[in-house]
Amino acid sequence: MKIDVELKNVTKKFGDVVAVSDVSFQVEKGQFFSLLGPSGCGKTTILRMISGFEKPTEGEILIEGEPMADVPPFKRPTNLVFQSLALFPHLNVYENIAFGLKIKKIPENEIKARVKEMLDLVRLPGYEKRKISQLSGGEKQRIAIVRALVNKPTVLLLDEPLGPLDLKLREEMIVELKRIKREVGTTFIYVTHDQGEALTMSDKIAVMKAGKIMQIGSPIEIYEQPNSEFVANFIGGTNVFKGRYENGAVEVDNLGKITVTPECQLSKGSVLVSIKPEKIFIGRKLNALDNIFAGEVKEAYYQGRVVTYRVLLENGSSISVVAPSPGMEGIFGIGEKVKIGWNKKDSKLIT
Amino acid sequence: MTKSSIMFIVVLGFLLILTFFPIAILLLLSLNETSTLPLRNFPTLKWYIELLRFPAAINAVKYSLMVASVTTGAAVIFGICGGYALARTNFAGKKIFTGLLLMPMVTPYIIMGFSLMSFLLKMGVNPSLIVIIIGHILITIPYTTLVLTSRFIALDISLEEAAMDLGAGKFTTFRKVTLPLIMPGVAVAAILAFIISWEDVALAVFLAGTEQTAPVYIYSLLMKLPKFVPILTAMSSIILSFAIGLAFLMRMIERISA
Ligand SMILES: Nc1ncnc2c1ncn2[C@@H]1O[C@H](COP(=O)(O)OP(=O)(O)OP(=O)(O)O)[C@@H](O)[C@H]1O
Ligand SMILES: [Mg+2]
Repeated sequence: MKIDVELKNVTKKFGDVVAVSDVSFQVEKGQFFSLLGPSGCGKTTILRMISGFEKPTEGEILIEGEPMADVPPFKRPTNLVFQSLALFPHLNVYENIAFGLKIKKIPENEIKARVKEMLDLVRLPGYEKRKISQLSGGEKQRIAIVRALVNKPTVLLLDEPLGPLDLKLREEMIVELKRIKREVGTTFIYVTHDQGEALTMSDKIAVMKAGKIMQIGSPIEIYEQPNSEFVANFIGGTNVFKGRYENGAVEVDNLGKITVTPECQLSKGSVLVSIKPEKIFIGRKLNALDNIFAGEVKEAYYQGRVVTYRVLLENGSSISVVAPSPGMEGIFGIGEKVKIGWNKKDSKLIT
Repeated sequence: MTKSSIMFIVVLGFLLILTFFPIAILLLLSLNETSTLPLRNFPTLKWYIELLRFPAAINAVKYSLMVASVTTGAAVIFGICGGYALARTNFAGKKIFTGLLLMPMVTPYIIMGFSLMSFLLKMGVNPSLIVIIIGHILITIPYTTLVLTSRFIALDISLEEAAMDLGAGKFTTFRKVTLPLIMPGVAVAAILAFIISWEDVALAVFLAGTEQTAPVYIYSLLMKLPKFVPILTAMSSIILSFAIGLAFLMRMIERISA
């Protein structure tokens, strides 16, 4: 597989602030690669280093195998969709999209054709003459994306392009982006703090925390096999218990024994176990599950498709459960005695 | 409305009358048959036509236009470069540098004019239009730089970065993105510089050689005979109307671009 972008031990310091710390990853050609992490973890800084607006303090960035250290932004085969979009307010939609092509001295009739093709791609045909101030948020977003895409970059860099949109529009744009990605096939590096977006769109996700990459993997790997409490919590929230591992089970204080499927040959020792709330069943009676505990519903949040419960278990621990709504036995009320349980394959060990 | 704000408006209104009444009289008299009130045969262009018979007066206006235009061009170019540098770079002593740059704004022009003249004379340079232009560039640069620095600071850097990201080099980025976006600021700075140069007498009076700018010409005539007074009202009115027109244009640009 061809590698389009590679970061080798990249560190970026702004004075004393370490924005990015020893980050390495590879992005394959045609991949949808996401950088996911909370605000301020260094996502934008990484994109800015790839597009050439910041120089790494240490380490190296390669695009298509070429070291980028001495290549200025305007000579890199990348295009960036800015967090603020940065559409030119003094130019209309056509002039914005044509900006890069005009600089490359592409003949006017070809520019016209390519701009039209791009507007068709994002389903805004006939928008050429519009002023930027006459566009809605979602339309601006799409124009910003094609203003970059029209240059046929090796890599398209997107910095939280859906950030300021409302939920409904975001969901539409996610579908739209996936379609655009499928149609153009360009390599995408996508920055977001929204785990939903990252899981839905990406081939690969790098989860970041405070300038470091915590885990890189496919959405399924990241979701199902988080390698740290941080990743487990950041991706969809989870129940984490601390305990001691021994012979296929973890002894947890205030809870008891949890059976687990060892992923690796663990020796005895202190471990964390993560159980995703939606892998836990809740009912008045439960059987045929590897781990079953009794408890009492303390909180119940109705969310339409699902209900989120917080259940206080008899031995003192509290656990959150996401159940379909309404379940086989309806919705449980606060104070109801229930059983909760899950299979041992869903007890994930975090070491 | 509170009592104190009514008081304030009354005082302010009085001050405005004090400002505009004499000017209004001047404009009226320039269109009047005699050089004093009451109005007689009003309005008449008599003094304006009379003015045309003074080649020195016509030349003075021409010189003023020339000096103000060259000053404006130079001050705006300096202002763009200086404003960009001050907005976009950090260097040791930036605060002190900015302070020094703005000094001419608080230095009385008469002092600047006198010291500049003494200095240039020592250097063997004689007063002339060029020297006036140099003096005017010095006093207008702080204004153009100040106006443009704030425009550059207000300009979203990511727009320039976007241009570079799309393949534009530094110069193309400046020409196609930065400059068009600060154009209203450039216009405001230009008008400001033009008005300052156009109206200056304190500095020019020291630096003028045989070719006098319009305000210097008026000033030197006022020192002479009172019979010149009527055509001076016409000439002053021309200078004033032009400046007011420019100031009005500047406000319009500021409002549109805000
Ligand atoms: N030019 C700069 N000078 C100093 N510190 C900076 C600079 N740019 C970024 N930082 C710091 O580096 C860290 C990472 O910033 P970055 O913008 O990369 O975060 P981010 O992950 O994109 O956050 P967000 O999701 O809020 O956009 C932050 O602590 C930020 O304050
Ligand atoms: Mg960011």
